[in-house]
Amino acid sequence: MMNFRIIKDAILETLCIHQGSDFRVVGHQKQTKSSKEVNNDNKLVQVLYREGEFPARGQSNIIGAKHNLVFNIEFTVSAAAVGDIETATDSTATALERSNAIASIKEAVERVDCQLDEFIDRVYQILMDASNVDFGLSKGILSGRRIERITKNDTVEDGSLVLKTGMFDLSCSTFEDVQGLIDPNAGIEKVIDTVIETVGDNIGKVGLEITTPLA
Amino acid sequence: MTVNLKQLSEADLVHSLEGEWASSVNLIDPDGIIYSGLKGQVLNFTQQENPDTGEIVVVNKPVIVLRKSSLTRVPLPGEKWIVQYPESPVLGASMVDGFFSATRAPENGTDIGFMRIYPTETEQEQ
Repeated sequence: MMNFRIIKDAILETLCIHQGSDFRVVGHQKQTKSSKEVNNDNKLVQVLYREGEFPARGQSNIIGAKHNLVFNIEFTVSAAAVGDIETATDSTATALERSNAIASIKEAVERVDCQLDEFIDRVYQILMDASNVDFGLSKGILSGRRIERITKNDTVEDGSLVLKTGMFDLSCSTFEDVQGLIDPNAGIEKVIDTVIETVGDNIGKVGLEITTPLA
Repeated sequence: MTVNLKQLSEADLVHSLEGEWASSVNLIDPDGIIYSGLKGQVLNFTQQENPDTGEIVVVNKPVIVLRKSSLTRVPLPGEKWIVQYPESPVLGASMVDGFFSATRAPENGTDIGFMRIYPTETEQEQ
């Protein structure tokens, strides 16, 4: 398996370890999310390997090919308006009490933007924490981990909720080995029956039979 | 008195919006005054295009259409209002509280005198 896949899994695992009840981690999914599904404490983070670059100067037959990776860490949050709706709609309350309750309602657009900022802060702290410099992998698999860019997209009114998405560009480097072509018959037992003649074997011949599957 | 077609259309709203297809709607203005027993059209689900894929999907996006001449006070841009509307067309359906800011009601339909309201779901503050 190439290292970029191992690193992607490690990023997912790192986020999973640190996720609380306030957000969920999923692998990249193309299906769109309903705003209801990601409301409030159901914020969603997805990890996607976006692109890789193999610089000409980083190629080596000994240590492998240098691979500069860019991952997209995608965020999705949605929110409703919030306020003292019970007082605002209470016919037994005074008009002044209702008026104050209505005036203090926080609009969904404002809330969703704050929620996304908090979410970005939270995930940034997880990914850039010193203890996660290798995302739990062995030393030497990846280097130069950094967040290159944070993007916030436009707020979308999605039904009776509002939805907002954002993204990190997370970059790092690794070295990829070429592990050889995968045998299409891997898993099928093959028998190699051969004879090795040894020098000074005056009695007979030493035989060797290999019956392990070729992988 | 000559009645032009726009005036005729507005007068027809009493049938098209407030007639047999109408639902009961309440409004609460920014001063806390409750206007109950209003009549209007309520659509709970509407079709819209998914901007990612271009496909048409049905979303829970309530739209409430009211005849402006039936309102004691018409929502103005920047004001915060509450609207209460039935969650479904079933007889006796419970009322849903929605919040709207009149800034988000650009489709005033001033030509023939109705306004559309797009309420946002509102959660109780803890």
